[in-house]
Amino acid sequence: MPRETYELTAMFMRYWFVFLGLVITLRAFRWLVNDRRSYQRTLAALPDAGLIGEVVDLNTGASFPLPREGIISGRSYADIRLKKLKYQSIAFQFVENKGVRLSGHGRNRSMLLEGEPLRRNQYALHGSRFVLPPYELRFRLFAGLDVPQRRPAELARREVHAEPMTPEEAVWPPIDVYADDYAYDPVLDATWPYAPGMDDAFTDARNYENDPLPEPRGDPEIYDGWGNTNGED
Amino acid sequence: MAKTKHSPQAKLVGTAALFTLSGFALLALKNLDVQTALMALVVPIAFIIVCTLIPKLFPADRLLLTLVNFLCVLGIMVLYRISPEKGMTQAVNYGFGVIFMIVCMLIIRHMHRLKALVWLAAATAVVLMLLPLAIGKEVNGAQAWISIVGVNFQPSEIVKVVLLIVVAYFLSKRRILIAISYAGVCLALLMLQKDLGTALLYYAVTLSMLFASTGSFALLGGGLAGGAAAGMLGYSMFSHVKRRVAIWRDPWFDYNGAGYQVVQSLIAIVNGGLTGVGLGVGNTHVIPAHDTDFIFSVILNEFGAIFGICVVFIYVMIFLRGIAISLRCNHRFHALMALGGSLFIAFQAFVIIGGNIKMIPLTGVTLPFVSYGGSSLLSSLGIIGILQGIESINEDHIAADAMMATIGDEV
Amino acid sequence: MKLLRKNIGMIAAVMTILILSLIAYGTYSVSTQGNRWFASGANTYIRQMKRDVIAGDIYDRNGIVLATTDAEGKRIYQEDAGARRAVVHVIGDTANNVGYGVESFMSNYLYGFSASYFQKLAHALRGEKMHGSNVTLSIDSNLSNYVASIFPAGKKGAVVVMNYATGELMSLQSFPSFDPNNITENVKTDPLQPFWNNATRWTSAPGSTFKIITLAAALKNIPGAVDKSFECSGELPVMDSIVRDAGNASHGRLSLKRAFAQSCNVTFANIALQMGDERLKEAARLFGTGDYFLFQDIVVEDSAYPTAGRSDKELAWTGVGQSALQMTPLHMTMIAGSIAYDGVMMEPRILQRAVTGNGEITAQMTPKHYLQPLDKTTADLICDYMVEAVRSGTGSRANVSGHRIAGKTGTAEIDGQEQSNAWFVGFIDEPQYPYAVCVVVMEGGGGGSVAAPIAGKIFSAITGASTSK
Repeated sequence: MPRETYELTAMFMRYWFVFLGLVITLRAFRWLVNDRRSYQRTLAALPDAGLIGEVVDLNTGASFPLPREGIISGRSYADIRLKKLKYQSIAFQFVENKGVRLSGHGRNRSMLLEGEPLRRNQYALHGSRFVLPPYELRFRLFAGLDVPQRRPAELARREVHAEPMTPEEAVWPPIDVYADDYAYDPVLDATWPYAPGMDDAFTDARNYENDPLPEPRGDPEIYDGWGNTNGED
Repeated sequence: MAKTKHSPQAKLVGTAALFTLSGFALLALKNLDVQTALMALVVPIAFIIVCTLIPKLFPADRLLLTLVNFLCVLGIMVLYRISPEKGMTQAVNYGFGVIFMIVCMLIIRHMHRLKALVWLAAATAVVLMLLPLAIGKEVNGAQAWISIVGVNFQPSEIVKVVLLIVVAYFLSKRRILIAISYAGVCLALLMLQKDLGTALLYYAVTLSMLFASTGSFALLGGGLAGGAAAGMLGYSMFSHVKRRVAIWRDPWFDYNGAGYQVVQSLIAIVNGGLTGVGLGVGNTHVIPAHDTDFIFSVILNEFGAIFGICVVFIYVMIFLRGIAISLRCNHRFHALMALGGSLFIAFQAFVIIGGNIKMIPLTGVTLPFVSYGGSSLLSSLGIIGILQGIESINEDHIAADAMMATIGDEV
Repeated sequence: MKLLRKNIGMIAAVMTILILSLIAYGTYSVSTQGNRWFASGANTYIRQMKRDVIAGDIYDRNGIVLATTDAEGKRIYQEDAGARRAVVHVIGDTANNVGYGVESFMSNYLYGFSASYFQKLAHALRGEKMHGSNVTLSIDSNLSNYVASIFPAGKKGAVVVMNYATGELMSLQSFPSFDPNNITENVKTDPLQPFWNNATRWTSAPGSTFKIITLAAALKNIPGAVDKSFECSGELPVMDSIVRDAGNASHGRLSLKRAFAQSCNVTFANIALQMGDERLKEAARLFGTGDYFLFQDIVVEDSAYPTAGRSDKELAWTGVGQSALQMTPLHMTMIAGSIAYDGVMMEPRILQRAVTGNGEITAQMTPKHYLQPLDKTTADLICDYMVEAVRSGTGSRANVSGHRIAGKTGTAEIDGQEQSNAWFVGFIDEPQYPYAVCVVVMEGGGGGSVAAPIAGKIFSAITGASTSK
């Protein structure tokens, strides 16, 4: 094609290209904005998105939503803000199959998890009690999270010589109303809004056959629900 | 998302494919050969296939995919106009790049099983960086390339991806020192290779990831001061840095010699005006490195300033999308990786476009997705693959959350 | 995670702003300097376009054809060699020997780049070459001829004549000049550099003409300076040098007005020392010294106030217009014009209008304010002093009877030159002849004896031959 003719054609097409470029950019921008809006709507419909449970302040009854990872401290940017904590900060991280790993405490011996000073990278489970002076906290994890059904060590130790529990009771331990600090806890033992039919699902023998409890792991401190330790007879 | 004919993706993909088709058709009028006509059919179809097929196979972020592929295809088109051989090479590299992107996506998706590989990857990366110093050849004052079976390959680009993963991993575990020292080792190797532009990029991204992870302004200030000091040191030590800064301040002083590149770039931009001179009309060969570093000037020349601004907006949107992915993450590791990846793309684009319009001195980085260069394209697409992988994990989390919210509902 | 998200948000905001700033910088940079890059000699694309377009004609303000293209595409200038030489530095030549002449700086109009696409298409369909726009300049060819005829032959120098009310340049000439139709080897290797436009690209210390700025600074910073009287003993020792007056004159006791009219170095050196470097520098800055000149029609070298090695001695000499000052003749004309125009400095313009082949006007000049260095009262006061300088002072040879002429002479001594540079800046202080003039004769001798008479003749020509407007 002769040069001049091509140049004229190309000079005409440039308006077309600019037009298409603008259309592309505008459409992409609108898609970006609309997608963000629909995502925010999805999030609004899922109030617990990204959360794995709650942390309850036993003294005041206030509960804090527990994300998968974060920091507990007194700073404003903390995920769980406990105002009276001045210099302490604990990092927590949810690990599948293991629980909530707590770290960052250094050599601080005043922090207790289930009565014992925190070791390195210790895991908190549903119901674990965590003492962070001057706060006392309890972890509550959502049903359905992939955490082994282990009971907190405190409970286990107290019940070493008790009657062996049935599989059903292993999940929902019997409440001994006469144990000193084991009174009915209106916060911990309230009915869960998230799992209204949970009782049925697990105490129904029929369902239990299809959904057996997960195998207990061999942890020396944990009492397994069948009255044994370490899975031995 | 509903995949009706008028879904946002269909509209965007359709417009972009139309753009590519008309571009190649115009070039076919210029070249009057079969190859260009074939490209006019093949490239838009390949683009449509990539944009629609990949989301069906893996849960991917469609907007990001579409925008990135559009830039790649734009690059192929402009490079084809510059020289058909380069266009074909770039198209082949694009194919490999898409495969690499899918590979990275899959790796990230199954990352929790491969955590042990992180150490192995880190070591490999260091070795890869040492290779150019050993067997590499010197190009443009930097010794950053090696030649494997005749293919020129820049290891620092692949290491970019590895650095991202490794640094994000250690930062998420709050082992800051290891992260910093690894990044430091990579930086030192880059300085030895005299690839200062990439070193700047790595430094900026690592510093941002560090700041995001720790939140300490002291560290940020120290890092910026250290970077400035390193810059001054580099200025006094390396003569070519001095030359580049001098040319940046006044390229017209020596417009036929040292400043020729920048001067011709500016003239090309001005010649373009608002709507450009037309595809295939401008004389692009006057600018040295018009296929790698100065491809944005070529775009401004032939497509005009309005289109150039649109391209800049597309980079901003890609960056914002990556940031959105990063903000949706539930794990620090993923969030940091997404942040670093987005920053790599955005910062690189900023640096090279700034160099093209003489806002900052010229550095040796390329425009992501568009520039000619297999390793650059591969690493950029790899980063996008990582972002897609993280987004797929996010979507899984949201789906799991949605399911958890319905536990106990009537079945 | 909250912390992480907050930080990510901050980083994202910063990065987005950075990238968007690219657009801002690019737009700013191209809109202010784009034309210069386009018109520079390095633009090879223009050569490509020039093949397809017939360049437009260049006219002076009275319609005289300064440049046109003949049937073979060759560029033709005026018939008379003298006339060609007089305007060559304004127009430039096709080989771009003169940097940024109208031929290249306004190639945007002359080659029709700004013509719409459809015009180009129409021309192509008709099979004829497109014709660029015709450009009318504000230059007066007859006046330029006259100036060239009265400038001393063999000397380097410059003459600028500007309408200070609109900013239009009537004449912009550099000497020695050359004939664009006849560029020989001698011309290219001439040590006097005929290609260089001394009026806009040559900077030097302007001698006593700088006292206008010193005076403005004094009026602003020294209270009651108008009524003060100064003592001049003919020499003022400052550090290790002595400030002397021209011809070793000793003026005795004088008022500020008389000191200015007689161009007393001792007085002004004293004033400079009294004010201090910062204030004098600030006054110069108000007049545009140190500005990055980005005029629309013309490329002018920046003026500079010296900053290195400032001592009292340097300050004293700067006050009288010596030391390392760098001013262009055009800038001095603009300064004189601002005194005349109630303290408002207008931007120098060359383009009056650009008209396409179809008769539509694509560009029309509108006068533009550049700076306002003074208020009206101060400007009027300095104007009075300058009138006195011409009436009874050193600039008396610039006077034209029956008219109110204002001016200031300057004799700049340059190291390495035997003779000083002769400077004169002045204007006609009458509303129907709003013209300012700057004359520089390098190695010419005294400002009052060499430059002022030339200016005087120019003033007579302007006011006498009032048909050449």
